[in-house]
Amino acid sequence: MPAGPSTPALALRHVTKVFEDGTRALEDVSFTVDPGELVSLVGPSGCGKTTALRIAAGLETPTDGDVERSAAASANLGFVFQDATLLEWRTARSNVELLPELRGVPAAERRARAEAALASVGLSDAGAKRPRQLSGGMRMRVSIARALVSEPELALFDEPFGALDELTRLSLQVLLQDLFAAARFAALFITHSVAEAVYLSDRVLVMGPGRIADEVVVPWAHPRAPELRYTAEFAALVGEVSGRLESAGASIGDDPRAGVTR
Amino acid sequence: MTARAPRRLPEWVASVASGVVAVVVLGGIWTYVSLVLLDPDRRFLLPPPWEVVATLGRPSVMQPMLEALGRTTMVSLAGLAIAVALGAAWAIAMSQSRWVERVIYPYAVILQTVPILALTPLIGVWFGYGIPARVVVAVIIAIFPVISMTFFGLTSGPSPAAHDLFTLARATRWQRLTRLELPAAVPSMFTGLRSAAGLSVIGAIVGDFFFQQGAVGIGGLLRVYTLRLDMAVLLTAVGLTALFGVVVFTVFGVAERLVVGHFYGAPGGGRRR
Repeated sequence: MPAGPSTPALALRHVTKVFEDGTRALEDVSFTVDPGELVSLVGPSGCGKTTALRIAAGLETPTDGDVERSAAASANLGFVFQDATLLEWRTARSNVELLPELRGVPAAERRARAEAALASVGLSDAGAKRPRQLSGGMRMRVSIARALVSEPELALFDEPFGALDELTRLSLQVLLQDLFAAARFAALFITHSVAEAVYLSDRVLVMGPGRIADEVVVPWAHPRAPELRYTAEFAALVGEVSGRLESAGASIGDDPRAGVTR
Repeated sequence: MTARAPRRLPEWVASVASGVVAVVVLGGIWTYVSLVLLDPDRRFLLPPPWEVVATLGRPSVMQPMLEALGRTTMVSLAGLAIAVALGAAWAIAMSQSRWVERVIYPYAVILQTVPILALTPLIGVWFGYGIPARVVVAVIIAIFPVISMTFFGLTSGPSPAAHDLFTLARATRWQRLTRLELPAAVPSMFTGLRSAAGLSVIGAIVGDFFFQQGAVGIGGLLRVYTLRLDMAVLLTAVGLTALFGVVVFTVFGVAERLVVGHFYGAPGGGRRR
């Protein structure tokens, strides 16, 4: 079916995932991500966030339920991993060029796109460097540039800032927020940081073990100033989401094997 | 008053000094065995070091020895080149299909474990008793590290996330092999290449020893000198072959450091996740 204006970029409908060893990672999970919307999945480690993301990407198949991506999202999908996953033997620019290269984009065009993508993440001067010459934050910037170089309809982020120090993490949140405000791709963002989810998202989906327990709409429009994170309203919303997260974790868990991250 | 760190010799001085000490000690033991422990009528079994060194100045000895070493070098390099091409293709085939791996991996193990002595009659019958047979021996002895290290690099080099990246990009099998698996395998391949280079030298000398039709190699000369009981010349030839092996090993070690160091940061590979 062709994607219309109201068609979500991504929809998971009643998705259940049971691994071969019997582990129930997801139980009847449903949510959508509309075009131009950034949705966060927030939850504790092991609640099934990454499994949901991998199913959304097509890297895992659901045991039950459906996954739908719009045609545009399926054709042009960006993915940012937990670690930068850069190819060590390639320069930063060449890493960013990888996906256009695999799609057969001519060399001059993909080089221009890579330069622009690196500039958008503030790494214009680092194109010739190899990953080992970059800091953790710079590597993640290259990874984001690689995911966004083809201007994806749908971008998936798997806890990309989880391993970074706090200052780098804060600056990358601002960077990603700016990139999102400028390009308005649909995005699903996995994190265990409530503040990060609230700052970046239009909606926050709160996960308990294996399922979506709650949903919170974030009221502020994009672009968002970095200072928003230090306001009383922001702190109040973070507190509310944290409270719902806590009650979701406390009240769910009928199956002790549920929610194991794979 | 500030405490001073004890002065240390520069590393190269320490390295040279330890080498000199080793040579002096070895030379001393050698001289002692030759002049003191051996009766004069049995001294030909281990002539003193200076008699061995003196052979280096005899063109009638050194010219045929260097020519033979040149031939052995060619056999060794040809064997190494074939082992690398064949071994890499073998490993790639195994990495692309579990079924192929199950079928052909046992033969790689057999090549590694079967004594070369047991194969020499077959090799002689199939390839003759000249230079081609020597190359075959070098290939058989050198190929296993190429297969095993290339296969290890292809299967263990790329991280699962890197494979996911290529899956998401809908990369073809060829793109995955050429842009991910082979580049990720390069550090391991160099480790295998370094071992194979040393083994190809051994293989070429063993081949010389068994297959002596045609121009003689250094292994053939070793046999001739042994039959003549010309121990001074034999020891010179042994020293030369040892030096040759060290040079080959070092050359490939330096190549590994340059290539792997430049593209991957540290020689020897092993990494990821």
